[in-house]
Amino acid sequence: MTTRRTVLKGMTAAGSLLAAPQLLRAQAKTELNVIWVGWPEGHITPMAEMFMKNHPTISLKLERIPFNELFPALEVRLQARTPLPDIFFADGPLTASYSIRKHLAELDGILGNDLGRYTKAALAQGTYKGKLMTLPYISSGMVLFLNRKHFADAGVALPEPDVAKRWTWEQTLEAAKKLTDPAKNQWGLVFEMADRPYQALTLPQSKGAQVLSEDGLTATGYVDSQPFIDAMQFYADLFNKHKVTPTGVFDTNLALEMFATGRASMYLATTPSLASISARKDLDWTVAPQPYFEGGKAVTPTGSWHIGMNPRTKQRAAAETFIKAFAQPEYVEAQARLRPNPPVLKSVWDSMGAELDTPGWRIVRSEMENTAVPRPATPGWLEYEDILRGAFREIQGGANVEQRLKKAARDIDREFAKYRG
Amino acid sequence: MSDRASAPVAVSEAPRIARRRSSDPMQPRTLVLLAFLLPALAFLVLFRLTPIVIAIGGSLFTQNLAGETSFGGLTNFAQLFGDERFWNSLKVTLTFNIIINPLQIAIAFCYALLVMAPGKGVTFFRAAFFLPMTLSTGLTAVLWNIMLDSNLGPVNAILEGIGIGRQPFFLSEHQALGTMIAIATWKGCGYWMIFLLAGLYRIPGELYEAARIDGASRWHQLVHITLPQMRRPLAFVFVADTAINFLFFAPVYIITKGGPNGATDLLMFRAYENAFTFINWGRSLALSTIILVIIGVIAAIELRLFRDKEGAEA
Amino acid sequence: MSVDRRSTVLALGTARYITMSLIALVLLLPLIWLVVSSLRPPADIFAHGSRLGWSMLIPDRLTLENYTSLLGTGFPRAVGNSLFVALTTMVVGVVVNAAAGFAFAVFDFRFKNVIFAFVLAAAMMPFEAIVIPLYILVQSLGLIDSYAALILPDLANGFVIFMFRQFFAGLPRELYEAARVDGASWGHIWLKIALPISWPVVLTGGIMLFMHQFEAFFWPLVATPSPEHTVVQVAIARNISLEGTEWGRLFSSTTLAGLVALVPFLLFQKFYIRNFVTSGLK
Repeated sequence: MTTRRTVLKGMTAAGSLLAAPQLLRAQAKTELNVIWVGWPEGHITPMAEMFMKNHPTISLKLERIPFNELFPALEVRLQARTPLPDIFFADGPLTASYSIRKHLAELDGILGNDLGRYTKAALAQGTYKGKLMTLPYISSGMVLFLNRKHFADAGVALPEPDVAKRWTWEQTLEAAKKLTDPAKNQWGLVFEMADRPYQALTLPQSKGAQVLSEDGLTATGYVDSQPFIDAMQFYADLFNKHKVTPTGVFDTNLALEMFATGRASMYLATTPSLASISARKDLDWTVAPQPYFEGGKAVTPTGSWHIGMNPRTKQRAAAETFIKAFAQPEYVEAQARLRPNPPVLKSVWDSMGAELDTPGWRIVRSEMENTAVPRPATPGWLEYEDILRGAFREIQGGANVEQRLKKAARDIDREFAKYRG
Repeated sequence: MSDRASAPVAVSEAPRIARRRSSDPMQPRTLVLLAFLLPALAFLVLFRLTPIVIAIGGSLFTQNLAGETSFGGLTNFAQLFGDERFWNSLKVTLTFNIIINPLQIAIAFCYALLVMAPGKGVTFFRAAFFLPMTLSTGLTAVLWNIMLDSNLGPVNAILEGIGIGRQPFFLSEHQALGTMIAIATWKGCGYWMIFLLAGLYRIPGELYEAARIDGASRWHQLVHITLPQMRRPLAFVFVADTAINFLFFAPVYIITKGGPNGATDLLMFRAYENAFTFINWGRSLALSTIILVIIGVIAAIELRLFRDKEGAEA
Repeated sequence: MSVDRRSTVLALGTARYITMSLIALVLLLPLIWLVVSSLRPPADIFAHGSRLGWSMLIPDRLTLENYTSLLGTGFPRAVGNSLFVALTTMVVGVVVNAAAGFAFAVFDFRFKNVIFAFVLAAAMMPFEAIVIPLYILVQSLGLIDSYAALILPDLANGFVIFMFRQFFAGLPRELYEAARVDGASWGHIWLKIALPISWPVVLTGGIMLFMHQFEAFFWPLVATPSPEHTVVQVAIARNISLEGTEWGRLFSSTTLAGLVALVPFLLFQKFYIRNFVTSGLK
């Protein structure tokens, strides 16, 4: 806003006078303001301490923002277009959005040419228009969790934890029918992110659908394409026709509780669930790879957390030091040891050895190399995700799949108009 | 205050805001008036009105992706008025408010009448009625989302247990808005109760004594003494409750995202969504401006309705 | 006749208690579930939700772990921060807003209605629309990440001013006139006459300001980044995460915060009784 800018420039000038003493104090030790996604303190503080020990002249001022509010809270700071924060965490698919709005400094020059160390999907998410804009930090993948007791009781053979023997969705549905028992409030299959494109997009992708145009700016013809509609019809039938999946489980944490308290026999979920489910001692469970459609291809979701640098930072040298440090295998490994997420550096998979040598992690490692497809690259990811979430919810609720997807495609394209202009 | 009134600034130099000269003992000198008003007004101008003016101004601009703005006049508004989703949101917002405002105030009034007189255990009931208010709106949404969950929620277990059967609540196009109204009412009534209590305690007891001697019924006392005496507190509660319910959106953001099928698509949620999901600040500010205007118009009507017979302001 | 009257009073009293109990039941059940859940081990919280039974409200395993584990986190500090911010706002804000409310109720001045409309508008604008200009403003004042950033913008409150205006306008004018004739200054009248006979109203205004600050979430999240200034609602929200909510701690911290927020109301309703001399509705 032109008016706002002018007024605010004056105010900023006045403010910098007031802030002068703080600047003087800061010269002794550089303080970096870092906005971190709100993981538990135990996953973050050790990383910050590690960095400050290795770089005694830089102190970190950490802010943990809960996931649900990370985007709005960051948006206020970034839209104010001030030097703060120096460093911030970005969800991978937002790289394009932040880049196009000039909230990110290019990282290519800082890291040099050894980007081949990163897993392909993670690197792709951090790249916009051929330049690395956000540093890949920690990734994600999905596996199918299975309740052994339910399978035994229903007399269904368990799928194997082997990507070569992956079940099809059709097989999964048949098993789910046998496992579902309304009298016991027991459901065959529950999705961790039942309305989120992160998970649901893999169904149309497995049927061969391209979910967005190549330039990331057109949804019509993609979101309402035939394979997309077919896949979502199968998805809708799980809820409405076969009734093997409960409707309305949109809260990821309530979905986890469905599986953890024995109300769901199969649970398709991201890797952090490996830790939370292991913590439930009474539960007898195992894992299998995510299913695919018969005649289609295996597609699994992935997405990563990235680190971005504010182009307006006043402490460029220190911020670059931070970026360089968090690109080191030691940091990526230390973080992966604290959090059950797949590391973004290939070498760390090896250096962590036994820790990642479990059936679940072996599946994830293979998926990262072979089947993982990141979410489509578009500056309008937030709009795309929000509108599709609404559509997926209503499709579960019994809306006509084709009509609802056509409407979603129109709505997305309308919001995308601003990126085309 | 009286000290500040004799501050070393000549009275004649201060702007003459006071309508009458200080010769009228019921009217304060300008400096006295400023001493009362200025602290609050200064804070409001700095921290609220300036940002509001910037925001309303911003609704006239369109912003490109690099953050550069250009004047668009009423473009943002024209686009909204041509959008069917806007009209649905307006309908949902008005429906929500037409039901919730009278409902909350009627219930709050009952609360206040019930717990007003002292008695055994009344402190417990006062606290109980106020207690839901101690949860923030966001936590209220989180709690009720669990309570009403179709699989894990205790409410559906109870409904099934007593033979009514499980209800979809937020998942049904027909129940979602009503459920929103119910949880907002669950939380909010205890808050409005405190203003009504404060008002009830101000009614002189002699009025009731006189009525009782005349043999007036309790109902008669309520209609002819209590309600007229509560005119001013009620005017406040109506206006403030209207504003707060027009600005209500956190449970929509947390639970339904405006659905199912637009059933809970409140204007305020759309303003938030446009700002932080669609990154369309011009449209968001236009929506906010529309919300402000609607609240302002309704508040003006409410204040007018509560004026007394002689036409004095409420 | 008098027997009749007594039995009517008794019947009404009984009806009153039955009504109050039913309302309290509906209001408190979800909160009781919340408190009970906060006393369960995390794995048990959702184990009993789907079938009607006493196990929904009576835990089979009790633990204080969800409470004791809060001690090691930023939660105690956050409660302290919120209390400091809310109480400061309450004390200073009551003075500032009551003064303005008194002026609008009693004085007659030019543009009074226009100014009052602006006061109301200040409380009616969606906060999301003003948060960015407000952030830039507070930052340019050098106040970001300080208690002042939380307190100053919320000291003056259009609704609190409105509330005071309504109640001061309800006081009989003769009260002020008599004092003016006796030569009392307006400051004296406000401080020594209007405020003392309006204690319930002053406390009501105090509660408004206190609750507003104690429930504040989005502005503190944006304006005070560092752990030293984290407020209670932000600390509670940190237990909710896409990748695993800490249900136990979420419920225990919510319970504690609710109890803290109840204290001012309990004090205030005590004052009510003290001020409440006669009432016809007995």
